[in-house]
Amino acid sequence: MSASKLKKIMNRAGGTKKETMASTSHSSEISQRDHIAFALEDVNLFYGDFQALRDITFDLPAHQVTAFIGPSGCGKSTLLRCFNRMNDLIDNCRIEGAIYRNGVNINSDSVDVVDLRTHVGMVFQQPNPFPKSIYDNVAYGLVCQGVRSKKVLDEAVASSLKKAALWDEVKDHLRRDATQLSGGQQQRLCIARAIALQPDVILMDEPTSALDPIATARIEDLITQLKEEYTIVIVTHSMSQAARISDKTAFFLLGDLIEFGPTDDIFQNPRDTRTEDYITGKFG
Amino acid sequence: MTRIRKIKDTVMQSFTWIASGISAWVLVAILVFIFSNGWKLLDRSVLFGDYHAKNIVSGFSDEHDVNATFTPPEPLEDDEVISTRFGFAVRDEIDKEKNHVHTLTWVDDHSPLRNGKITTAGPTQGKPAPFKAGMNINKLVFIDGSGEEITVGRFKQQSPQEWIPILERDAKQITEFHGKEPGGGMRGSLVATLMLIGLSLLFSVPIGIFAAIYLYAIAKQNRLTMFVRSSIELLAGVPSIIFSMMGITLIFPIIQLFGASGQSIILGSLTMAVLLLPVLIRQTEEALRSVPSSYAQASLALGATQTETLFRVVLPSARNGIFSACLLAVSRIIGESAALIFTMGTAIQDSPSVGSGATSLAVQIYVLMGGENPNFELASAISIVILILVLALNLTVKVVSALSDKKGKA
Repeated sequence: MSASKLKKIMNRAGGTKKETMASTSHSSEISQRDHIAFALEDVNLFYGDFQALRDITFDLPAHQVTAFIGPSGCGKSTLLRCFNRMNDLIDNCRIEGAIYRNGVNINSDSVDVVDLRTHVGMVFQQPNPFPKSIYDNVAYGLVCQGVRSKKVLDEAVASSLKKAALWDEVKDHLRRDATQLSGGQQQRLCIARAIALQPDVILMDEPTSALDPIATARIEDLITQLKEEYTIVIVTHSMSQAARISDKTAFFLLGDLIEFGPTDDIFQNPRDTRTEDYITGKFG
Repeated sequence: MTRIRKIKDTVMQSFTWIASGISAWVLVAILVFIFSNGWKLLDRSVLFGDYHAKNIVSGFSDEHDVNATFTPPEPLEDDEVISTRFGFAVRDEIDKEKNHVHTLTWVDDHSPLRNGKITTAGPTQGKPAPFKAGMNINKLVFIDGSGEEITVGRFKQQSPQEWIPILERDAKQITEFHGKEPGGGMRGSLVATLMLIGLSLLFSVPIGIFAAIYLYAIAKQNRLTMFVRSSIELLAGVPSIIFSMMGITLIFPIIQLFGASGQSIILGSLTMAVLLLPVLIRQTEEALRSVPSSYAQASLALGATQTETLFRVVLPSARNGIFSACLLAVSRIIGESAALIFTMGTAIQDSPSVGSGATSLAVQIYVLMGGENPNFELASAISIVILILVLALNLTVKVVSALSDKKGKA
């Protein structure tokens, strides 16, 4: 596939949901291409001399949950951080290749990183609410965007907390310090904080690894609800979690993308023996 | 074998006891010395009184009511001598400068003394003389029945028990009063110290915080930054007397442009600000570093710029540490003397102003102890005030850091 052709496709990929819905009726092939959130082309990533990602090429589907699995150090979190360019913060990190979003390579210099990050939200492994009130946490991104209207902020905070299934628990004490919430509540607050900016994509880096099973179940429920509206990419160490909530799964090993496909196929009929070995617990 | 080892253990342990015992003993000894010397003296007049005694000479033109009698509101003590005709009482005392004085212990509201007008030439001439308890009487002049002027008081080597009865018996009209408002207070130095603290922090805290932010987040980690950082470290080790010299040679010409002349509180504040900078920068940077990097990551991931992240998330999260740094700076200012002797001078002022010289509490101690007759008592009283202030500041720092630790764990 040539780059120019790909760009053309990407231009359409960023279209609104309504457009993509309309296009599904035309042909199944186009609809598949329209549902691409990120198209990766020969992505190589180096930390100094160490190559952490090797020739990663695949299309990440929109409005689905994609799970990245693989043993520690396989590069799955590193790749996740490529989508909102959080790797920029690491001094000796160098990226080659292209990641297209709406037909634009997000690694090019002309891309405004601040703008990109408002469209691609992120939830971290450890719940990390700011030591501010619940309200201020959710409103933070919008306030940074320059939103000052109390009415707009109030509405955004309420709707984000509702979408993150936290509203009923906190609506009466929005001014309380967010660090006093439980771990699971904090993580849902972090999801609400990301949603408040109305992103297209939410990246989740092992969002439940610091939580107990009940809190984990709630986050998983939330993820399945959120995929209606957002593209979700989740890095997880839990095979069962990937199997439960994801539509597509990508298996990484030592910086290589070994296999990518529908979750059912990956778990039931892995094409690669390494995938099979990992899923069946022979290593990792 | 085990016996020898046991003895060795005991000997080594006893060294540690002795060493820590000495440290504790020194602190107790300082406290005992300061409090035993200064506690007696420490009262309202010392805390809020003037340092310099003020002489008051007042004259009386109105006729007194010859038949008036006054009674004190509460019974007087044995050593107080009362004048019922003129409505005041006096006691023979030894003042803070160790002289015998006759102190007014009570002046009735309607006492003829209250009609006195200041006769000394100057801006206060003709104003009512401020008679109040605590003032000293040196000399009283009155006219007796035959119109003769008679002088009584300490001036004539009389004790109150001698001169008050003479006044009671012979006086028809008091004509002159020579008194003194006693000095030996620290109010001027206290006010100067507060001004010094305020101005020093005003200059040093913003610069310190911005410099720390620069070093923490904005500066590239290269040789120049390393040079700047190690310069700041070295600056923290420069003795304060050298900062004082720098103050008069380098900062003085600058403030001269703004009209300040010579040693002044503003010059002292600027010098203190420079002296405090390295400590403030280092501790602020320390506080910024202790903010979890996950806060900054979360903020950046939400589309905040680096500057927004620094000022909206990192700096507020570090505020307890920065507050502690400021409190420690305050206690450094209170305790500093060497940097202020050249820059603020050693003339104790009762009403200090920013543009003129004054002494801080610590420098007042230096002045009191440096004269021909060291005034241990007053110096100790000031030391108590300094110690209480510094201990309170240190306790606050401890409480603040305990609170932020607790919050960090929650």
